Amino acid sequence: MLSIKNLYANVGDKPILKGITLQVKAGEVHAIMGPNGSGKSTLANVLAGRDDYRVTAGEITFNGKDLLPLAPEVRACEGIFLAFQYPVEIPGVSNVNMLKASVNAIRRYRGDKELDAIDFLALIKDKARTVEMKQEFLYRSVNEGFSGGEKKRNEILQMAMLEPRLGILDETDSGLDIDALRVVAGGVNALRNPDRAFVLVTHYQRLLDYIQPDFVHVLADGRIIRSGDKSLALELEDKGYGWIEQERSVEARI
Amino acid sequence: MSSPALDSLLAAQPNWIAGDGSDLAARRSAGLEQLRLQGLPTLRDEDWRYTSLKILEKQRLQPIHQSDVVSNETLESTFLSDLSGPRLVFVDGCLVPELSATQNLPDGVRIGELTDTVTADVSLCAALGSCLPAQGHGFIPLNEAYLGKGACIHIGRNVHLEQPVQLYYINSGTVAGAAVLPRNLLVLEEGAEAVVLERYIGLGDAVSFTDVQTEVCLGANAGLQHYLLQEETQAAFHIGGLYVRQYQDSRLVSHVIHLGGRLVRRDLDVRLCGTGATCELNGLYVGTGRQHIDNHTVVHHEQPQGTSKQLYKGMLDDRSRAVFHGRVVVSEGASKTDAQQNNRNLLLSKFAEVDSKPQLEIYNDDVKCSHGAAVGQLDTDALFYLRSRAIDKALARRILTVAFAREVVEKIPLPALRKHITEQLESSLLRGLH
Repeated sequence: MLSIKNLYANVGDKPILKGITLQVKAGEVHAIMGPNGSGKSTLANVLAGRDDYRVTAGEITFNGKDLLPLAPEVRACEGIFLAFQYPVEIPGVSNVNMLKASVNAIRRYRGDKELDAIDFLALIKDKARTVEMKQEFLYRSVNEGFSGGEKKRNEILQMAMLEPRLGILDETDSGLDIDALRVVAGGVNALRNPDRAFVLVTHYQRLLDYIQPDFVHVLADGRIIRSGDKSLALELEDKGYGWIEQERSVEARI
Repeated sequence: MSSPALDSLLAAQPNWIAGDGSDLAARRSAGLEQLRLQGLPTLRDEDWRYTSLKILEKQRLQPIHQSDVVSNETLESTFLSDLSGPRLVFVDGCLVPELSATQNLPDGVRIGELTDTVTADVSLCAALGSCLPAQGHGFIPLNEAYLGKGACIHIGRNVHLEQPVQLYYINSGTVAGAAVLPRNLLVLEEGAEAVVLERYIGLGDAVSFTDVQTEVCLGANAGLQHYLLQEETQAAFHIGGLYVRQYQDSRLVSHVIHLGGRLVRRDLDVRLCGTGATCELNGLYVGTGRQHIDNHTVVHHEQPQGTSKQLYKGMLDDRSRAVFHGRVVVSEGASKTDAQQNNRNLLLSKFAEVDSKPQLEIYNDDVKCSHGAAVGQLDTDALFYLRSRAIDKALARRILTVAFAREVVEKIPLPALRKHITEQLESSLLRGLH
């Protein structure tokens, strides 16, 4: 589904990603872990098509299509969804209005009929229940005045509404208490199916207690320095990131 | 500098017939004399330094009053549905009685053409002109020189007129250089309450010129909700003023909405001359193409315990330009004044321009005054967020722009008006998409 080959990217003039290669197949859940500043969020944003991130080499294909020339909105229509690390507050735009525009943009792109107001409201109310979000939040301005946990739940609600093929969660677990984490993880697990894949960018192993990954990758200094199954996450939890980086520098000396 | 516009208006005045009230005729002559002396404002006038009248001065103008060029059907189609109540409709400066509705008014309410109404009432005649500044800019004597057309609304003591009164001024746009110069007089006696909408609309493509001055006298404890909805064409010159005198404990809420016009200048001048008077001034302006929209507000706090609260927001696209000049004057005797002013602008194009100028003159220590002015662009994070939710760039820009305006639109209590303004905002911003 997603194929990243030897990807290099800059933020401004600064190289952040230095040769990432990653294959994600339908139905898989990949966790990308790593210390602060290793490039995890950059990778997530590059996939979503953020302007200020410049790809300098390498390629990304998504379901066989070259992803890099596509605008962010086209990527979203193709089925990529990014849950933001810091969801943006948009005063004056209600959650329902934004999501109605989103859902219908995707339906148009796929050649489906747009949802009318009644069907749309029924759908969003149903999805809101799955992330335990009160209805009043639907009518409030996007993320405005939401607590950290409410913002992250709102991201998961949006993901549930847009039904992406690939969900990328950028540190969605950071700063959440255990109850909120459980809700967020529940929302993701409910969306898991054989046609859909997830990339979980996270700093903490704790998320992976709730969402079981098929693969774990460790990112350091813009490269994937180690890949494994979920036991790698446990090992990391035990020994810390320093362990892998030390091991690498030993390897390099030999 | 030669000014075909001024010359043509000076030359046409002696042939202007507008009511026979001898008092009005004398005022017209005095206005003409004053206009000859004073001329029109120039960039050298501090209050006009950001608004050049060059393109207006080049026009040859022709004061008109005719009403038979547009079918009633077309006119009716411009009305706001869902908004009933008394209505006066002027087309090219002339009242159209068939479309107007002033029947079945409650006792104590008079709504009619200016000349008829003021000549029938000595106190209204005395009120006419009393709210205008002694030394206003040249468009005030110009308006005075053509005094006679327009509307008069009189609300008697303790009368609450619940339905909004709608004043329609429609430029047919069929005569090049057509000039209309109405005067409106609104008098609310003690304890009276009313809602008044002034709406200016353009239909055809011909150049039009409007110089309208509205005077408002709010008696003690009276309350007025006033709307100015300016929807002229991009070939229209619109110069207008709202001059308000507020007596003790009176309340004014003003909403100024600009959705059209080529060159627009509005003065909103509020004199709080009674203790405890309050005013709230909200404004919204949208510029596209080469529009120039100048809003000039002055609040005179003359007595204690007065409050004024201003929020003006603008959205400028293409090569449009806006001016906001907000002056607050707190006199020596005006203790416990609370004056707030806020002007925020959104530039949607790198060629658009805004000049925002707050000006506070405070002669009393026991006051609370604040002001803020901001000019910015659309939030790129919000733009990316919406695009990552499959919303294309053009629509995302429109959503964010309308959201920016919403703060002002939501202050409007009339749902019919809110709906109309939101629709117009969306369609005018559709044009300017990149």
